[in-house]
Amino acid sequence: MTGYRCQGCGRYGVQQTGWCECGSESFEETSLSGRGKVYSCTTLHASAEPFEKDLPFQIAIIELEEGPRLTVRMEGVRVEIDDPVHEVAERDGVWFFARGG
Amino acid sequence: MRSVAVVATGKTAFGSFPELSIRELAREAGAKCLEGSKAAEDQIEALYVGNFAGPSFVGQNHLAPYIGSALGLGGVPCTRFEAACASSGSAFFHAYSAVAGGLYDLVLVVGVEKMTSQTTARTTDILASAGDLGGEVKAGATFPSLFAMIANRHMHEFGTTREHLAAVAVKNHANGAKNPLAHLRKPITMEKALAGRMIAEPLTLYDCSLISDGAAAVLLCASDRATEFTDKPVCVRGVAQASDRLALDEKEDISTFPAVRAAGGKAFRAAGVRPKDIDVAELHDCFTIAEIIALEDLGFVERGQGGPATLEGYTALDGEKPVNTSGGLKSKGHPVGATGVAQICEVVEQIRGECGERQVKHAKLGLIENLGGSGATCVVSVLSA
Repeated sequence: MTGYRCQGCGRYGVQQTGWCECGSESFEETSLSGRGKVYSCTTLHASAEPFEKDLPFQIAIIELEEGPRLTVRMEGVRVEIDDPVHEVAERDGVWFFARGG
Repeated sequence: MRSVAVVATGKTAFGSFPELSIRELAREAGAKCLEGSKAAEDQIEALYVGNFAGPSFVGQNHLAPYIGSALGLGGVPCTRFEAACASSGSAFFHAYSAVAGGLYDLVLVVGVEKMTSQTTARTTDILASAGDLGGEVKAGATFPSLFAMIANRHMHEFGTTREHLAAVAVKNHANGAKNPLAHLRKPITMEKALAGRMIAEPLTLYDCSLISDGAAAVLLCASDRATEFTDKPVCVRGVAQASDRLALDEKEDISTFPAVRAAGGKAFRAAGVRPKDIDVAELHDCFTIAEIIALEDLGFVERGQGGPATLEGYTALDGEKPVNTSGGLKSKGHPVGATGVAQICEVVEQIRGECGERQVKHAKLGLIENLGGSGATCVVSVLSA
């Protein structure tokens, strides 16, 4: 999983925005483990129009081992808070994760 | 800074009104507000409009002068404020700042939203645009799902239960049944709230506020001129607005709202009062968990105690700290851009003793908390007799 590290404060990120809250605009590309744990999650039974075909589906806020959090779509078995998860794929800017380390 | 007072309120009913345009709704609230005061249209020096998504819901942009001309306000400055569900709270904050700073003596604040002309799925899409489109929304998040993740985290950290959440809905429906202008005027039982259709786990339909049309207005005046316009001015003791990040995944702890704590702290300091002094409050129950967290973040209860306190009746109409006597967003309805001003109307009318069946005894000091999105904007106001 490709990520970025701020050269000002050392913070890791998944999506490069071009700036960091520390004020730095300097980043280096880095590789992330793609593993982490669930910070919070929910299964949706109603959604906005573009996602109705996928219902019901689970989304989660994942905390990666390197620190950054990311909102992802879960695949396979449903997860709960603190479950270990790993990256499966990235499609159209959305990360898909599944249960297990 | 000068002292500022609310001298009049005006509201439409909240509900589904296919026959009324956004301009007609706003005009009705604004005109009722002016009728309730001794102010003439040509004395109003500026119009502050709160509206979240008129351009998306009904296609109308440049909304503030469109409403101002319908109200006969002539050429005065008319400006729209957008801060998601805190749009009209923010309009109120900026109107207050202009009067307190001496720029104007008399200004009108109108909040309005017309939502029911769209399908629920399209409405969900429009509401989601108050989240971070680059991240969480792209992954499929909706507002119910963002607050569901907040609820799950709060449950995980503090042991909050689905019964605690449902207790908010049961209380607010009981209050809304006593409000003639509420969207849903029917009490619900705990069993019904718990058995509701699941929207985003653990939130059921009964944990979610309503999709409504409606408008609300208040007239703000420099306190030294307030008695020219009313016999019952209500003093604005403090107003504060605070901000936070949009995306939930960028926040350190989603079981609390830093912007609520910041705006609340500033408003309490400006008013020179403490949470225990507040007699009545309108808190932003866009989802039941939001009312529970607001109770904690504003210091009415300890962190983690919002759910148990609600279940024990602390915030009931006859409880120690009545919250959402209007029925809240849950039962009164949530026309997003109207909500902040509608909450202020309820507290003003409580302080004036005009709330009929839902009147709180000895309501002298009131608080309003209006939250935008998943917490990126918050406006807190403290009012007194």
